[in-house]
Amino acid sequence: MMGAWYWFEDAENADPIALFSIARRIRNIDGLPFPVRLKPDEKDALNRRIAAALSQFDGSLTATSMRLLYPYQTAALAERFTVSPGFAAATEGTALITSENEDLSIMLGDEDHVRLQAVAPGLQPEAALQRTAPYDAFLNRTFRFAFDSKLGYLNRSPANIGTGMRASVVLHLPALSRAGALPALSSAVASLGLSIKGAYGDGLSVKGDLYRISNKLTMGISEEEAVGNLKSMCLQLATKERRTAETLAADIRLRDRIQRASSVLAGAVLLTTNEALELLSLIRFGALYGQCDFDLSAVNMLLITVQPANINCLVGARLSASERDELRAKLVRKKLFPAEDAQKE
Amino acid sequence: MLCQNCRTRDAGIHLKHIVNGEAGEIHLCAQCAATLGYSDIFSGFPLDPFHLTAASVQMKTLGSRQQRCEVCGFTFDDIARTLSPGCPNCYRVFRSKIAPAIVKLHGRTVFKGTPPDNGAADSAPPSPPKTETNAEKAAALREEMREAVEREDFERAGELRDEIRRLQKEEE
Ligand SMILES: [Zn+2]
Ligand SMILES: [Zn+2]
Repeated sequence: MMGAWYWFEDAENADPIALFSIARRIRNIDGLPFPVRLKPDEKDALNRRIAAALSQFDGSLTATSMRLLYPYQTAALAERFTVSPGFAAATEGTALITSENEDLSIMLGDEDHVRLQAVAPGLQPEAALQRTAPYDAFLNRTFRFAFDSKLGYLNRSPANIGTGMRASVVLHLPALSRAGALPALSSAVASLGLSIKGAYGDGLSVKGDLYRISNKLTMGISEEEAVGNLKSMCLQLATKERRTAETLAADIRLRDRIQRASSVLAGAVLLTTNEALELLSLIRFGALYGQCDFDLSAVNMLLITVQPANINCLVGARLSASERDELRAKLVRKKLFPAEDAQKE
Repeated sequence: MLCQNCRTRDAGIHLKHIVNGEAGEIHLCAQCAATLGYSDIFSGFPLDPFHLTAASVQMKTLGSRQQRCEVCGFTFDDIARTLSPGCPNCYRVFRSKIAPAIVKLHGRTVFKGTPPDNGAADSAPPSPPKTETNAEKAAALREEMREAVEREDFERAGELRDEIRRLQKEEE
């Protein structure tokens, strides 16, 4: 669970606009009631059987019963997109299986028996989908997933039948965000059977100019088509973002804000999550358009690790808000200004 | 309670979510839930189509014995009441009654994805999973207890110890 490194520390595949892609396959075992209709010990027993089978298939996977984790650890898993927020909020009978760097996660016993998920850096939803394929096939051979030739995969929510596949991409859109262009684009997004919302928290407010584009259709469309639609919408948004950015980049007020953001990140003693995300978004924009010099992959990683529960994970305890703000400021300095940081110590 | 997104309509949908690093709830109206893409939550749809069909079905079948799913024992009324099938097999048993709900949700009813690769094992029906014996359960709990002790979570370890004792008593 606490790997030496996580998938988001992959420096090779940093993309200017698409931070990462997620694909999820929702599955249920035929001949069994859905988890909500199972008693807690029946759920635990089923989860253990699935985990035992998977460990035979791939010995590098780690399994844990979610009730063994502290609440901040569970929240941290949701913050770094390893589990869905709904899964993190579930109270009993859930278990999680992950690969070493958490790029693969298999959620057991929440709304559905099995949810297989993979994350890939950049704009690669098809690679994320492909990553889950062998595990999907293995679990189907072992447990036989409920499937109907007309309705597809028979999942708990009728909204998830059909392919039972949910794919999404997290995009950094600071220019479109600043230009106020996104509300107008959301109908174009919806017409392709996709949705757009804030990538963090409940999705209602947007933090760090990070947006999550997801497919909504699972019937009358193949997995490949759905992923293709998602990808082409992301490419369109990326083109629009780049054009808008080119006109915005010359704005002297924005240049000033980027330089100020850089100074605050270098010198702040306390940083709240929201402030850190806002400033990181500004310097990421600056780094892309030659206004400041930061390693893109370091900024990408911070956009995930500055969140509150992940700060708690750095010390393995639930800290107070001001303790977290102090540790967050230190983390940012260490990752973005390693030379100056070494002098200070 | 008002919808957190539009702050005008009534929030009929309550979702568990992670807010500021902790589990919290968000409250949305049906329209906002749908536009924000919370579509994998069944209740996120403006009308619950099961309920409407269930009411009309109930009128017709009044007095006659209700059909039950052989796997989970659900009737169509149970599906309407809980807003969800009890098991995957319910979709097959109540196919025609569920169909209108699926049209409402998806606008289309045909699966076009990749079917599972069942290989040579296709002829064998899925065997119902065997239930764990108390000894197997206890062994798993003992392992969990050992981990809890390692983490110095003695409260949890104590709970597990009591649970193991209970299982052993049942065995005797
Ligand atoms: Zn609303
Ligand atoms: Zn059933």
